[in-house]
Amino acid sequence: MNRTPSATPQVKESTLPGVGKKYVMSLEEGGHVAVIVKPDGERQLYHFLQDQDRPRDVLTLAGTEAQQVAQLLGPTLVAPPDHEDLQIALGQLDLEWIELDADSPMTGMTLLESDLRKRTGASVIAVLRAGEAIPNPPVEQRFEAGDTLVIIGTPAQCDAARARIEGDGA
Amino acid sequence: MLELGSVALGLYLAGWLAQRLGLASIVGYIALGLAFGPGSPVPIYTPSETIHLFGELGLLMLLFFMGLEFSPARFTEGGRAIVVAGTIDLANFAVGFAAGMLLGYGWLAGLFLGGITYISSSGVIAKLLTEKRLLAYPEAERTLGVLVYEDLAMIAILGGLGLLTAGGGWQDFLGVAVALVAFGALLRWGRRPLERLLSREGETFVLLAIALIALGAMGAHQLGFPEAVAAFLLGMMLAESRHKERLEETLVPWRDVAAAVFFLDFALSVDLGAALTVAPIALVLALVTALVNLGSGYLAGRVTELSHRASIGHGLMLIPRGEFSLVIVGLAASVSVLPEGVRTALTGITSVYVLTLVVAGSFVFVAYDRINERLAYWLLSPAARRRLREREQQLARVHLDA
Repeated sequence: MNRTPSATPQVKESTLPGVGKKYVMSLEEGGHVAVIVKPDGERQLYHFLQDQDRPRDVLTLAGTEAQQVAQLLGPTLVAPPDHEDLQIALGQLDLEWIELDADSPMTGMTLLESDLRKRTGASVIAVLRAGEAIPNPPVEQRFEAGDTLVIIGTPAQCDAARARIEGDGA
Repeated sequence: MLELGSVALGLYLAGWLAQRLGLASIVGYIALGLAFGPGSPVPIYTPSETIHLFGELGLLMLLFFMGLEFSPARFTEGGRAIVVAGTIDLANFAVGFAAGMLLGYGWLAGLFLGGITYISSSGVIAKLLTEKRLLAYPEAERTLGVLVYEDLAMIAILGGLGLLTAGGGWQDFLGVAVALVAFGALLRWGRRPLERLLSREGETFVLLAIALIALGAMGAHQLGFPEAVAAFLLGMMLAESRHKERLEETLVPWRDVAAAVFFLDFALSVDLGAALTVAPIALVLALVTALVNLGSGYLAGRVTELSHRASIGHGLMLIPRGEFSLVIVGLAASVSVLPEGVRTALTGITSVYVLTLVVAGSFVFVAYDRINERLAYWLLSPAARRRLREREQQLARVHLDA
Protein backbone atom coordinates (compact mmCIF):
# COMPACT_ATOMS: atom_id res chain seq x y z
CA MET A 1 0.00 0.00 0.00
CA ASN A 2 1.23 3.43 -0.87
CA ARG A 3 2.00 5.18 2.42
CA THR A 4 3.15 8.54 1.17
CA PRO A 5 0.23 10.74 0.14
CA SER A 6 1.33 12.84 -2.80
CA ALA A 7 -0.37 16.13 -1.91
CA THR A 8 -2.27 17.57 1.03
CA PRO A 9 -5.69 15.92 0.85
CA GLN A 10 -8.66 18.16 0.15
CA VAL A 11 -11.21 18.63 2.92
CA LYS A 12 -14.76 19.47 1.91
CA GLU A 13 -16.64 21.57 4.41
CA SER A 14 -20.41 21.90 4.70
CA THR A 15 -22.94 23.14 7.25
CA LEU A 16 -25.46 20.87 8.93
CA PRO A 17 -28.15 23.38 9.94
CA GLY A 18 -28.94 23.21 13.64
CA VAL A 19 -26.22 20.62 14.30
CA GLY A 20 -22.78 21.87 13.33
CA LYS A 21 -20.17 21.49 10.61
CA LYS A 22 -19.26 18.51 8.50
CA TYR A 23 -15.81 17.92 7.04
CA VAL A 24 -15.20 15.15 4.52
CA MET A 25 -11.79 13.90 3.35
CA SER A 26 -11.08 11.16 0.82
CA LEU A 27 -8.47 8.58 1.81
CA GLU A 28 -5.60 7.30 -0.33
CA GLU A 29 -6.56 3.73 0.49
CA GLY A 30 -10.09 4.35 -0.77
CA GLY A 31 -13.22 5.43 1.08
CA HIS A 32 -13.47 8.58 3.10
CA VAL A 33 -13.56 10.02 6.60
CA ALA A 34 -16.26 12.43 7.78
CA VAL A 35 -15.83 14.56 10.89
CA ILE A 36 -18.85 16.24 12.47
CA VAL A 37 -18.02 19.20 14.71
CA LYS A 38 -20.74 20.29 17.13
CA PRO A 39 -20.70 23.68 18.85
CA ASP A 40 -20.54 21.97 22.28
CA GLY A 41 -17.17 20.48 21.32
CA GLU A 42 -18.37 16.94 20.67
CA ARG A 43 -16.95 15.31 17.53
CA GLN A 44 -18.27 12.38 15.58
CA LEU A 45 -15.88 10.49 13.35
CA TYR A 46 -17.28 8.36 10.52
CA HIS A 47 -15.26 5.94 8.44
CA PHE A 48 -16.70 4.95 5.06
CA LEU A 49 -15.25 2.22 2.86
CA GLN A 50 -14.88 2.79 -0.87
CA ASP A 51 -18.20 3.38 -2.69
CA GLN A 52 -20.21 2.93 0.50
CA ASP A 53 -22.70 5.40 1.90
CA ARG A 54 -23.05 3.57 5.22
CA PRO A 55 -20.15 3.97 7.63
CA ARG A 56 -18.06 0.99 8.65
CA ASP A 57 -17.43 2.56 12.02
CA VAL A 58 -18.45 5.63 14.02
CA LEU A 59 -16.65 7.19 16.98
CA THR A 60 -18.13 9.79 19.31
CA LEU A 61 -15.50 11.90 21.05
CA ALA A 62 -16.24 14.29 23.89
CA GLY A 63 -14.48 17.65 23.68
CA THR A 64 -11.50 16.67 25.83
CA GLU A 65 -11.11 13.29 24.13
CA ALA A 66 -11.13 14.95 20.75
CA GLN A 67 -8.38 17.33 21.89
CA GLN A 68 -6.25 14.46 23.10
CA VAL A 69 -6.68 12.51 19.86
CA ALA A 70 -5.89 15.65 17.91
CA GLN A 71 -2.63 15.97 19.85
CA LEU A 72 -1.75 12.36 19.09
CA LEU A 73 -2.50 12.83 15.40
CA GLY A 74 -1.10 16.33 15.33
CA PRO A 75 1.95 17.43 13.41
CA THR A 76 3.89 18.08 16.63
CA LEU A 77 4.86 14.42 16.99
CA VAL A 78 5.60 13.68 13.38
CA ALA A 79 7.57 16.77 12.42
CA PRO A 80 10.36 17.18 14.97
CA PRO A 81 10.90 20.70 16.23
CA ASP A 82 14.20 22.36 15.35
CA HIS A 83 15.20 23.08 18.89
CA GLU A 84 15.44 20.56 21.64
CA ASP A 85 13.27 22.20 24.27
CA LEU A 86 9.67 22.55 23.35
CA GLN A 87 6.90 22.53 25.84
CA ILE A 88 3.18 22.46 25.28
CA ALA A 89 0.66 22.80 28.07
CA LEU A 90 -2.46 20.65 27.63
CA GLY A 91 -4.62 21.69 30.54
CA GLN A 92 -3.24 19.68 33.48
CA LEU A 93 -0.61 17.98 31.35
CA ASP A 94 2.62 19.05 29.70
CA LEU A 95 3.98 17.67 26.50
CA GLU A 96 7.79 18.04 26.34
CA TRP A 97 10.55 17.35 23.86
CA ILE A 98 13.85 16.46 25.53
CA GLU A 99 17.07 15.66 23.69
CA LEU A 100 19.34 12.89 24.87
CA ASP A 101 23.07 13.76 25.13
CA ALA A 102 25.86 11.22 24.87
CA ASP A 103 26.47 11.57 28.60
CA SER A 104 22.86 11.12 29.63
CA PRO A 105 22.44 8.17 31.99
CA MET A 106 19.66 6.88 29.77
CA THR A 107 21.68 6.71 26.54
CA GLY A 108 22.10 3.06 25.57
CA MET A 109 19.30 1.90 27.85
CA THR A 110 16.04 0.42 26.66
CA LEU A 111 12.76 2.06 27.65
CA LEU A 112 12.21 -0.80 30.11
CA GLU A 113 15.66 -0.45 31.69
CA SER A 114 15.28 3.31 32.02
CA ASP A 115 12.25 2.68 34.23
CA LEU A 116 11.23 6.25 33.47
CA ARG A 117 7.52 5.91 34.03
CA LYS A 118 7.84 4.11 37.35
CA ARG A 119 10.45 6.57 38.64
CA THR A 120 8.94 9.83 37.42
CA GLY A 121 5.37 9.17 36.33
CA ALA A 122 5.93 10.66 32.89
CA SER A 123 5.43 8.53 29.76
CA VAL A 124 7.44 8.46 26.57
CA ILE A 125 4.95 8.70 23.75
CA ALA A 126 7.41 8.99 20.88
CA VAL A 127 11.09 8.96 20.00
CA LEU A 128 12.32 11.25 17.26
CA ARG A 129 15.45 9.95 15.54
CA ALA A 130 17.16 11.37 12.46
CA GLY A 131 14.08 13.10 11.24
CA GLU A 132 11.94 10.03 11.77
CA ALA A 133 9.31 9.47 14.43
CA ILE A 134 8.84 6.27 16.42
CA PRO A 135 5.41 6.79 17.97
CA ASN A 136 4.46 4.69 20.98
CA PRO A 137 7.93 3.07 21.37
CA PRO A 138 7.97 -0.56 22.57
CA VAL A 139 9.62 -1.35 25.94
CA GLU A 140 12.65 -2.86 24.20
CA GLN A 141 13.29 0.41 22.32
CA ARG A 142 16.94 1.36 22.92
CA PHE A 143 17.79 5.04 23.26
CA GLU A 144 20.71 6.59 21.38
CA ALA A 145 22.53 9.87 21.79
CA GLY A 146 20.80 12.56 19.75
CA ASP A 147 17.34 11.05 20.16
CA THR A 148 14.59 13.44 21.15
CA LEU A 149 12.08 11.95 23.57
CA VAL A 150 8.51 13.24 23.51
CA ILE A 151 7.10 12.83 27.00
CA ILE A 152 3.76 13.56 28.56
CA GLY A 153 2.90 14.03 32.23
CA THR A 154 1.99 16.60 34.85
CA PRO A 155 4.45 19.52 35.10
CA ALA A 156 6.04 17.91 38.18
CA GLN A 157 6.40 14.55 36.45
CA CYS A 158 7.93 16.20 33.40
CA ASP A 159 10.45 18.06 35.58
CA ALA A 160 11.47 14.80 37.25
CA ALA A 161 11.77 13.11 33.87
CA ARG A 162 13.88 15.97 32.53
CA ALA A 163 16.22 15.68 35.52
CA ARG A 164 16.56 11.94 34.94
CA ILE A 165 17.08 12.24 31.19
CA GLU A 166 19.62 15.05 31.45
CA GLY A 167 21.39 13.32 34.29
CA ASP A 168 21.18 16.01 36.99
CA GLY A 169 19.13 13.83 39.30
CA ALA A 170 20.39 10.25 39.05
CA MET B 1 -45.77 29.06 44.51
CA LEU B 2 -47.39 25.64 44.98
CA GLU B 3 -48.47 25.68 41.35
CA LEU B 4 -45.01 26.65 40.13
CA GLY B 5 -43.45 23.89 42.20
CA SER B 6 -45.86 21.21 41.07
CA VAL B 7 -45.54 22.22 37.43
CA ALA B 8 -41.74 22.14 37.63
CA LEU B 9 -41.74 18.81 39.48
CA GLY B 10 -44.29 17.25 37.11
CA LEU B 11 -42.39 18.40 34.02
CA TYR B 12 -39.14 17.15 35.47
CA LEU B 13 -40.55 13.69 36.22
CA ALA B 14 -42.31 13.47 32.86
CA GLY B 15 -39.22 14.53 30.91
CA TRP B 16 -37.01 12.18 32.89
CA LEU B 17 -39.35 9.24 32.32
CA ALA B 18 -39.61 9.94 28.58
CA GLN B 19 -35.83 10.07 28.30
CA ARG B 20 -35.50 6.83 30.24
CA LEU B 21 -37.84 5.23 27.70
CA GLY B 22 -35.66 6.57 24.89
CA LEU B 23 -38.27 9.09 23.75
CA ALA B 24 -38.09 12.82 23.15
CA SER B 25 -39.00 14.78 26.28
CA ILE B 26 -41.87 16.50 24.43
CA VAL B 27 -43.74 13.16 24.62
CA GLY B 28 -43.51 13.28 28.41
CA TYR B 29 -44.70 16.90 28.63
CA ILE B 30 -47.77 16.33 26.45
CA ALA B 31 -48.60 13.06 28.17
CA LEU B 32 -48.36 14.81 31.56
CA GLY B 33 -50.92 17.40 30.54
CA LEU B 34 -53.28 14.82 29.08
CA ALA B 35 -52.99 12.39 32.00
CA PHE B 36 -53.38 14.96 34.79
CA GLY B 37 -55.28 17.70 32.99
CA PRO B 38 -58.80 18.97 33.74
CA GLY B 39 -60.56 16.17 31.82
CA SER B 40 -58.72 13.32 33.54
CA PRO B 41 -59.76 11.31 36.60
CA VAL B 42 -56.74 12.75 38.46
CA PRO B 43 -56.97 16.46 37.65
CA ILE B 44 -53.77 17.74 39.27
CA TYR B 45 -53.24 20.52 36.74
CA THR B 46 -55.72 23.12 35.56
CA PRO B 47 -55.11 25.71 32.88
CA SER B 48 -54.05 28.94 34.55
CA GLU B 49 -52.87 32.44 33.81
CA THR B 50 -49.35 31.60 35.01
CA ILE B 51 -48.95 28.46 32.92
CA HIS B 52 -50.35 30.21 29.89
CA LEU B 53 -48.04 33.17 30.32
CA PHE B 54 -44.93 31.00 30.53
CA GLY B 55 -46.23 28.91 27.66
CA GLU B 56 -46.63 31.98 25.45
CA LEU B 57 -43.07 32.96 26.21
CA GLY B 58 -42.00 29.42 25.27
CA LEU B 59 -43.75 29.71 21.93
CA LEU B 60 -42.12 33.06 21.19
CA MET B 61 -38.71 31.78 22.19
CA LEU B 62 -39.03 28.68 20.00
CA LEU B 63 -39.66 30.97 17.04
CA PHE B 64 -37.02 33.47 18.07
CA PHE B 65 -34.44 30.69 18.07
CA MET B 66 -35.72 29.35 14.79
CA GLY B 67 -34.94 32.78 13.35
CA LEU B 68 -31.60 32.96 15.14
CA GLU B 69 -30.50 29.61 13.66
CA PHE B 70 -31.82 30.53 10.25
CA SER B 71 -29.37 31.95 7.81
CA PRO B 72 -29.86 32.40 4.09
CA ALA B 73 -26.26 31.32 3.54
CA ARG B 74 -27.04 27.84 4.80
CA PHE B 75 -29.95 27.71 2.44
CA THR B 76 -27.98 28.55 -0.66
CA GLU B 77 -25.18 26.16 0.27
CA GLY B 78 -27.45 23.18 -0.36
CA GLY B 79 -28.45 24.83 -3.61
CA ARG B 80 -30.82 23.42 -6.15
CA ALA B 81 -31.17 20.03 -4.45
CA ILE B 82 -32.66 21.58 -1.30
CA VAL B 83 -35.07 23.74 -3.27
CA VAL B 84 -36.27 20.80 -5.36
CA ALA B 85 -36.50 18.39 -2.41
CA GLY B 86 -38.18 21.01 -0.21
CA THR B 87 -40.77 21.79 -2.86
CA ILE B 88 -41.69 18.12 -3.30
CA ASP B 89 -41.92 17.91 0.50
CA LEU B 90 -44.82 20.39 0.35
CA ALA B 91 -46.97 17.36 -0.58
CA ASN B 92 -47.32 16.82 3.16
CA PHE B 93 -49.21 20.08 3.41
CA ALA B 94 -51.80 18.67 1.01
CA VAL B 95 -52.40 15.74 3.38
CA GLY B 96 -53.71 17.91 6.19
CA PHE B 97 -55.54 20.29 3.88
CA ALA B 98 -57.36 17.41 2.18
CA ALA B 99 -58.20 15.91 5.57
CA GLY B 100 -59.64 19.22 6.76
CA MET B 101 -61.82 19.49 3.67
CA LEU B 102 -62.94 15.85 3.86
CA LEU B 103 -63.91 16.27 7.50
CA GLY B 104 -65.97 19.30 6.59
CA TYR B 105 -63.99 21.73 8.78
CA GLY B 106 -63.80 24.31 6.00
CA TRP B 107 -60.85 25.62 4.01
CA LEU B 108 -59.42 27.81 6.76
CA ALA B 109 -59.20 24.90 9.21
CA GLY B 110 -57.85 22.88 6.29
CA LEU B 111 -54.97 25.36 5.91
CA PHE B 112 -54.18 25.05 9.62
CA LEU B 113 -54.31 21.25 9.46
CA GLY B 114 -52.11 21.38 6.36
CA GLY B 115 -49.50 23.31 8.32
CA ILE B 116 -49.74 20.79 11.16
CA THR B 117 -49.08 17.79 8.91
CA TYR B 118 -46.49 19.62 6.83
CA ILE B 119 -43.93 20.71 9.34
CA SER B 120 -41.50 18.09 10.70
CA SER B 121 -39.87 18.56 14.07
CA SER B 122 -36.38 20.01 13.55
CA GLY B 123 -35.67 19.66 17.27
CA VAL B 124 -36.52 15.97 17.50
CA ILE B 125 -34.90 15.07 14.18
CA ALA B 126 -31.60 16.89 14.80
CA LYS B 127 -31.34 15.32 18.25
CA LEU B 128 -32.06 11.79 17.00
CA LEU B 129 -29.65 12.13 14.06
CA THR B 130 -26.91 13.10 16.51
CA GLU B 131 -27.70 10.49 19.15
CA LYS B 132 -28.09 7.61 16.71
CA ARG B 133 -24.96 8.73 14.89
CA LEU B 134 -26.45 9.13 11.43
CA LEU B 135 -25.13 12.63 10.76
CA ALA B 136 -22.67 11.71 8.01
CA TYR B 137 -25.22 9.73 6.01
CA PRO B 138 -25.86 11.49 2.69
CA GLU B 139 -29.61 11.64 3.36
CA ALA B 140 -29.04 13.27 6.78
CA GLU B 141 -27.46 16.34 5.22
CA ARG B 142 -30.33 16.54 2.74
CA THR B 143 -32.89 16.13 5.51
CA LEU B 144 -31.39 18.94 7.59
CA GLY B 145 -31.43 21.16 4.53
CA VAL B 146 -35.09 20.41 3.85
CA LEU B 147 -35.88 21.27 7.47
CA VAL B 148 -34.52 24.77 6.83
CA TYR B 149 -36.81 25.02 3.81
CA GLU B 150 -39.71 23.90 6.01
CA ASP B 151 -38.87 26.59 8.57
CA LEU B 152 -39.06 29.25 5.91
CA ALA B 153 -42.30 27.82 4.50
CA MET B 154 -43.76 27.70 7.99
CA ILE B 155 -43.06 31.39 8.53
CA ALA B 156 -44.87 32.11 5.28
CA ILE B 157 -47.77 29.88 6.39
CA LEU B 158 -47.97 31.52 9.81
CA GLY B 159 -47.86 34.96 8.26
CA GLY B 160 -50.50 34.08 5.72
CA LEU B 161 -52.79 32.48 8.30
CA GLY B 162 -52.30 35.44 10.61
CA LEU B 163 -53.37 37.84 7.90
CA LEU B 164 -56.31 35.67 6.80
CA THR B 165 -57.70 35.46 10.31
CA ALA B 166 -57.02 39.06 11.33
CA GLY B 167 -60.47 40.19 10.24
CA GLY B 168 -59.62 41.87 7.02
CA GLY B 169 -60.62 45.52 7.46
CA TRP B 170 -58.39 48.14 5.84
CA GLN B 171 -57.14 49.20 9.31
CA ASP B 172 -55.69 45.71 9.76
CA PHE B 173 -53.80 45.89 6.52
CA LEU B 174 -52.56 49.33 7.45
CA GLY B 175 -51.32 47.91 10.79
CA VAL B 176 -49.53 45.06 9.07
CA ALA B 177 -48.01 47.46 6.58
CA VAL B 178 -46.76 49.63 9.45
CA ALA B 179 -45.29 46.57 11.16
CA LEU B 180 -43.55 45.46 7.98
CA VAL B 181 -42.10 48.93 7.41
CA ALA B 182 -40.96 49.01 11.04
CA PHE B 183 -39.20 45.67 10.63
CA GLY B 184 -37.66 46.81 7.38
CA ALA B 185 -36.37 49.93 9.06
CA LEU B 186 -35.04 47.94 12.02
CA LEU B 187 -33.28 45.58 9.67
CA ARG B 188 -31.74 48.48 7.79
CA TRP B 189 -30.79 50.86 10.61
CA GLY B 190 -31.52 48.97 13.81
CA ARG B 191 -28.77 46.35 13.86
CA ARG B 192 -25.98 48.54 15.17
CA PRO B 193 -27.96 50.13 18.03
CA LEU B 194 -29.42 46.71 18.84
CA GLU B 195 -25.94 45.25 19.10
CA ARG B 196 -24.76 48.06 21.32
CA LEU B 197 -27.88 47.72 23.44
CA LEU B 198 -27.17 44.03 23.97
CA SER B 199 -23.59 44.56 25.12
CA ARG B 200 -24.46 43.65 28.68
CA GLU B 201 -23.29 40.95 31.02
CA GLY B 202 -24.98 38.38 33.22
CA GLU B 203 -28.64 38.57 34.11
CA THR B 204 -29.12 42.01 32.58
CA PHE B 205 -28.34 40.47 29.20
CA VAL B 206 -30.96 37.74 29.64
CA LEU B 207 -33.56 40.21 30.93
CA LEU B 208 -32.94 42.55 28.05
CA ALA B 209 -33.21 39.75 25.50
CA ILE B 210 -36.50 38.51 26.98
CA ALA B 211 -37.85 42.05 27.07
CA LEU B 212 -36.90 42.50 23.44
CA ILE B 213 -38.65 39.29 22.37
CA ALA B 214 -41.80 39.89 24.42
CA LEU B 215 -42.21 43.57 23.61
CA GLY B 216 -41.28 43.14 19.96
CA ALA B 217 -43.86 40.38 19.54
CA MET B 218 -46.54 42.29 21.48
CA GLY B 219 -45.89 45.48 19.55
CA ALA B 220 -46.36 43.57 16.31
CA HIS B 221 -49.49 41.95 17.72
CA GLN B 222 -50.98 45.36 18.48
CA LEU B 223 -50.53 46.24 14.82
CA GLY B 224 -52.30 43.04 13.78
CA PHE B 225 -49.04 41.39 12.71
CA PRO B 226 -48.64 37.72 13.78
CA GLU B 227 -46.44 37.78 16.90
CA ALA B 228 -44.92 34.39 16.07
CA VAL B 229 -43.57 35.76 12.81
CA ALA B 230 -42.32 38.86 14.62
CA ALA B 231 -40.36 36.71 17.06
CA PHE B 232 -38.84 34.80 14.15
CA LEU B 233 -37.84 38.02 12.37
CA LEU B 234 -36.25 39.37 15.56
CA GLY B 235 -34.20 36.21 15.84
CA MET B 236 -33.16 36.43 12.23
CA MET B 237 -32.08 40.01 12.75
CA LEU B 238 -29.62 38.88 15.42
CA ALA B 239 -28.43 35.80 13.51
CA GLU B 240 -25.48 37.65 12.03
CA SER B 241 -24.64 39.66 15.13
CA ARG B 242 -21.76 38.98 17.47
CA HIS B 243 -24.23 38.20 20.25
CA LYS B 244 -25.50 35.06 18.52
CA GLU B 245 -23.35 32.62 20.49
CA ARG B 246 -24.02 34.39 23.77
CA LEU B 247 -27.76 34.37 23.12
CA GLU B 248 -27.57 30.64 22.48
CA GLU B 249 -25.54 29.99 25.60
CA THR B 250 -27.64 32.01 28.01
CA LEU B 251 -31.13 31.70 26.54
CA VAL B 252 -31.31 28.05 25.48
CA PRO B 253 -32.10 26.82 29.01
CA TRP B 254 -34.82 29.50 29.26
CA ARG B 255 -36.22 28.46 25.93
CA ASP B 256 -36.29 24.78 26.84
CA VAL B 257 -37.99 25.41 30.18
CA ALA B 258 -40.55 27.79 28.70
CA ALA B 259 -41.15 25.44 25.76
CA ALA B 260 -41.84 22.58 28.19
CA VAL B 261 -44.49 24.76 29.84
CA PHE B 262 -45.85 25.59 26.39
CA PHE B 263 -46.29 21.88 25.63
CA LEU B 264 -48.02 21.40 28.99
CA ASP B 265 -50.25 24.43 28.42
CA PHE B 266 -51.25 22.99 25.06
CA ALA B 267 -52.01 19.57 26.54
CA LEU B 268 -54.13 21.19 29.28
CA SER B 269 -56.21 22.91 26.62
CA VAL B 270 -57.05 19.55 25.04
CA ASP B 271 -60.59 18.34 25.70
CA LEU B 272 -59.84 14.72 26.58
CA GLY B 273 -63.30 13.42 25.62
CA ALA B 274 -63.14 15.16 22.26
CA ALA B 275 -59.57 13.92 21.74
CA LEU B 276 -60.67 10.33 22.27
CA THR B 277 -63.49 10.72 19.75
CA VAL B 278 -61.14 12.10 17.11
CA ALA B 279 -58.27 9.76 18.01
CA PRO B 280 -59.05 7.35 15.11
CA ILE B 281 -58.91 10.29 12.71
CA ALA B 282 -55.57 11.36 14.18
CA LEU B 283 -54.15 7.85 13.85
CA VAL B 284 -55.22 7.55 10.22
CA LEU B 285 -53.80 11.00 9.56
CA ALA B 286 -50.51 9.95 11.18
CA LEU B 287 -50.35 6.82 9.04
CA VAL B 288 -51.13 8.72 5.85
CA THR B 289 -48.54 11.38 6.75
CA ALA B 290 -45.89 8.71 7.31
CA LEU B 291 -46.66 7.08 3.95
CA VAL B 292 -46.82 10.34 2.01
CA ASN B 293 -43.62 11.49 3.69
CA LEU B 294 -41.92 8.27 2.67
CA GLY B 295 -43.19 8.69 -0.89
CA SER B 296 -42.35 12.37 -1.24
CA GLY B 297 -39.00 11.86 0.47
CA TYR B 298 -38.18 9.01 -1.90
CA LEU B 299 -39.17 11.01 -4.96
CA ALA B 300 -37.24 14.05 -3.72
CA GLY B 301 -34.17 11.92 -3.07
CA ARG B 302 -34.27 10.21 -6.45
CA VAL B 303 -34.59 13.41 -8.50
CA THR B 304 -31.72 14.99 -6.55
CA GLU B 305 -29.29 12.12 -7.04
CA LEU B 306 -29.53 10.22 -3.78
CA SER B 307 -29.32 6.43 -4.05
CA HIS B 308 -32.39 4.17 -3.78
CA ARG B 309 -31.58 3.32 -0.17
CA ALA B 310 -30.67 6.87 0.87
CA SER B 311 -33.85 8.24 -0.72
CA ILE B 312 -35.96 5.88 1.38
CA GLY B 313 -33.94 7.00 4.39
CA HIS B 314 -34.62 10.65 3.58
CA GLY B 315 -38.37 9.94 3.71
CA LEU B 316 -38.00 8.03 6.98
CA MET B 317 -36.00 10.76 8.68
CA LEU B 318 -38.65 13.42 8.02
CA ILE B 319 -41.48 11.55 9.80
CA PRO B 320 -41.34 12.99 13.37
CA ARG B 321 -43.72 15.90 14.00
CA GLY B 322 -43.47 18.03 17.10
CA GLU B 323 -43.12 21.53 18.47
CA PHE B 324 -44.03 23.43 15.31
CA SER B 325 -47.25 21.51 14.73
CA LEU B 326 -48.19 22.62 18.23
CA VAL B 327 -47.24 26.21 17.40
CA ILE B 328 -49.67 26.15 14.48
CA VAL B 329 -52.51 24.56 16.42
CA GLY B 330 -51.84 27.07 19.19
CA LEU B 331 -52.45 29.83 16.70
CA ALA B 332 -55.61 28.06 15.45
CA ALA B 333 -56.95 27.85 19.00
CA SER B 334 -56.80 31.62 19.35
CA VAL B 335 -58.61 32.35 16.08
CA SER B 336 -62.19 33.44 16.70
CA VAL B 337 -63.20 33.05 13.07
CA LEU B 338 -63.00 29.27 13.46
CA PRO B 339 -66.07 27.62 15.04
CA GLU B 340 -65.52 26.42 18.61
CA GLY B 341 -66.20 22.79 17.64
CA VAL B 342 -63.57 22.86 14.92
CA ARG B 343 -61.00 24.35 17.25
CA THR B 344 -61.62 21.63 19.85
CA ALA B 345 -61.36 18.97 17.16
CA LEU B 346 -58.10 20.44 15.80
CA THR B 347 -56.47 20.49 19.26
CA GLY B 348 -57.65 16.95 19.96
CA ILE B 349 -56.43 15.60 16.64
CA THR B 350 -53.08 17.36 16.92
CA SER B 351 -52.38 16.03 20.43
CA VAL B 352 -52.84 12.39 19.39
CA TYR B 353 -51.21 13.00 16.00
CA VAL B 354 -48.04 14.55 17.38
CA LEU B 355 -47.69 11.96 20.13
CA THR B 356 -48.06 9.15 17.57
CA LEU B 357 -45.56 10.57 15.11
CA VAL B 358 -42.96 11.50 17.71
CA VAL B 359 -43.05 8.00 19.15
CA ALA B 360 -43.21 6.21 15.78
CA GLY B 361 -40.62 8.56 14.32
CA SER B 362 -38.24 7.95 17.23
CA PHE B 363 -38.68 4.21 16.85
CA VAL B 364 -37.66 4.48 13.20
CA PHE B 365 -34.41 6.14 14.26
CA VAL B 366 -33.64 3.54 16.92
CA ALA B 367 -33.58 0.73 14.33
CA TYR B 368 -32.74 3.00 11.41
CA ASP B 369 -30.25 0.85 9.50
CA ARG B 370 -32.39 -2.28 9.70
CA ILE B 371 -35.65 -0.58 8.75
CA ASN B 372 -33.95 1.33 5.95
CA GLU B 373 -32.34 -1.86 4.60
CA ARG B 374 -35.59 -3.85 4.75
CA LEU B 375 -37.66 -1.17 3.07
CA ALA B 376 -35.01 -0.68 0.41
CA TYR B 377 -35.20 -4.40 -0.38
CA TRP B 378 -39.02 -4.59 -0.39
CA LEU B 379 -39.31 -1.56 -2.60
CA LEU B 380 -36.98 -2.93 -5.28
CA SER B 381 -38.53 -4.04 -8.54
CA PRO B 382 -38.72 -7.87 -8.90
CA ALA B 383 -36.02 -7.79 -11.55
CA ALA B 384 -33.65 -5.73 -9.36
CA ARG B 385 -34.35 -8.07 -6.46
CA ARG B 386 -33.44 -11.09 -8.60
CA ARG B 387 -30.19 -9.42 -9.70
CA LEU B 388 -29.32 -8.68 -6.09
CA ARG B 389 -29.93 -12.30 -5.05
CA GLU B 390 -27.79 -13.58 -7.91
CA ARG B 391 -24.95 -11.29 -6.95
CA GLU B 392 -25.14 -12.44 -3.36
CA GLN B 393 -25.01 -16.08 -4.44
CA GLN B 394 -22.01 -15.30 -6.61
CA LEU B 395 -20.27 -13.64 -3.71
CA ALA B 396 -21.04 -16.60 -1.48
CA ARG B 397 -19.54 -18.94 -4.11
CA VAL B 398 -16.37 -16.86 -4.34
CA HIS B 399 -16.18 -17.00 -0.59
CA LEU B 400 -16.42 -20.83 -0.56
CA ASP B 401 -13.84 -21.19 -3.32
CA ALA B 402 -11.41 -19.13 -1.39
